[in-house]
Amino acid sequence: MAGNKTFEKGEVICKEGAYELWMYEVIKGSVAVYRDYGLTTQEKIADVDKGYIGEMGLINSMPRIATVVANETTEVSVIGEDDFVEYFKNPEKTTDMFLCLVERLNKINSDYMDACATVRDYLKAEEANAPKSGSLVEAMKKFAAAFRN
Amino acid sequence: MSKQHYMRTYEKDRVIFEEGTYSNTMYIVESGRIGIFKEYGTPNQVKLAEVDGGMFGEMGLVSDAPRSATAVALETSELELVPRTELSEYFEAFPYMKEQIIDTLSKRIRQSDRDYMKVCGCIKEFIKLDEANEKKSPELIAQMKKYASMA
Repeated sequence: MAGNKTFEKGEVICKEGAYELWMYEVIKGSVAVYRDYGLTTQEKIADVDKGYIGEMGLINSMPRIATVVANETTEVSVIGEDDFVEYFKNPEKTTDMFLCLVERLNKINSDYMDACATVRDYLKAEEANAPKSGSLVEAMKKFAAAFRN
Repeated sequence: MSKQHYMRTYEKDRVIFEEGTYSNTMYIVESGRIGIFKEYGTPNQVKLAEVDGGMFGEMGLVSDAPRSATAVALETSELELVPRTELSEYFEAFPYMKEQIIDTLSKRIRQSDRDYMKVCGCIKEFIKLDEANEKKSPELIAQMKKYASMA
């Protein structure tokens, strides 16, 4: 499994919803991370030009939560379960990986708090029988769309 | 570098870090029990969690935001203090800690993701009923109120 792979501009590296028990480190080039790639609801979440992607697949056996597409000719390192120990013998890489996971946790927790705040505002508007602002309704829809079974 | 370099002992009730202050150190619990509090020492004090293994305060490693809660020793506790700048050295000196730390973090991510998905699921159900002008169950309303109160 371990080894480097090159993707050309526009090539899909991994697809939202797929079960793949490996992750990638972007070595050279850059990739774009999309929700609903190819659909009318397509949304670009981030550009990544170094660091890890797909770590939830390897570490938590979760399906891919986004589609990743090469922005240009991009070289990635593929890290599977069997390579994990070897790959992270390097303490610098362990540190990067660890910080990447902490950031992930931070992001989920802050999304959770945003969702709670949106619920609070929505219920408040409902109780007061006040009209809900467009942005409030949009925010509710965004969280509803993020739901995975 | 020995473990002693990172180790500190905190007596019961000693504050380890305070809500609103800045620090980029992570704490690994070797022994004892730590309480994580909001508005510690005020009438509004709420205990968010107890930690008796793994680590806490790791957000300080990646975020420049101030501490979101206060950490207090609930009994005599031994902690390892790992500042951001010494993280690589720490992993180099104690490679066996990698798995433990990444495992703890993965579990936390899994749990947080489950919680987040639950609130998203409730929201989805709620707006579906709203759009259809249908009545919501008391359970769903109670759950939504619970989320609202966490904000």
